[in-house]
Amino acid sequence: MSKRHDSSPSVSPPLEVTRQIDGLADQFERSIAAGKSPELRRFLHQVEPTWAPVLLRELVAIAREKLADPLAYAEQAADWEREG
Amino acid sequence: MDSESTGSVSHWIEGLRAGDSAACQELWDRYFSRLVKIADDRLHRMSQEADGEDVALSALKSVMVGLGEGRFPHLSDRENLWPLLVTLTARKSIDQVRRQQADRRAASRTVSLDELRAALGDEPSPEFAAEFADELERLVLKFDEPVLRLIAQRKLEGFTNEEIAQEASCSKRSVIRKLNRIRQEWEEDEPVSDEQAP
Repeated sequence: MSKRHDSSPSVSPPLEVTRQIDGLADQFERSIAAGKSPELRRFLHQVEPTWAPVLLRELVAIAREKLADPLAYAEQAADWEREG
Repeated sequence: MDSESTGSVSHWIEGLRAGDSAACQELWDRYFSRLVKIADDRLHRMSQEADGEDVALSALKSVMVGLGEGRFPHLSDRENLWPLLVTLTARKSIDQVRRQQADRRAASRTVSLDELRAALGDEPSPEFAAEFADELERLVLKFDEPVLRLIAQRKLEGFTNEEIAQEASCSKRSVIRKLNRIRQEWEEDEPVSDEQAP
């Protein structure tokens, strides 16, 4: 198994934190898809410092996916706009 | 958990296909105790004598041997593996109870051919299949957020993360994250025991 080099905690967050991270990651994804440039810090400050690396990993993964396929995100943004 | 352990399971599955004994051990360590719990829960509703460890062992062995023999060609990661293990465990729980019932009948009197066929049937009973479907539906409907319901439902139906992401209009990463959340929500979903029920 590969060795981890990040500062992520070795245990999973409690369910409440998992829900919070999920919601923040959704907000981040919507913001990016809407063509904005959300500040990572603004999101990271909303979770306990222990879990910030877990959230950061999610946000970076979302941003990477966006950069890999900007057209798909443009379509998502249009969907979300239609849904209001 | 998440992507790293998802990758580990995919790696073990490939190892099992190649006959790697270390992969067997990893799979065992990860799933055996969880499957015993499921089997025990299922068996105790049907029989006081059945042993969940035997059932869990049999289910894991079926997957290990099956992969080694080239079965389950679409099995690629833990998202596919866990439902397969649960289904096998459920079926084998029923088989074990049927075998016990058949043994008891054989000991007490001569068993007719029809009874033997019924006892050795290899499909879950309609009652169990219905109960299993109800339980899955309850687990899916426990979510208030429509996107969680959609992702859970589609995953159980065998859709890929990419297909689900397209339908849910979100990134694949979000599908993976939400599946991890769904798994955690379900793990912490404590069924009401008979003693607690009103």
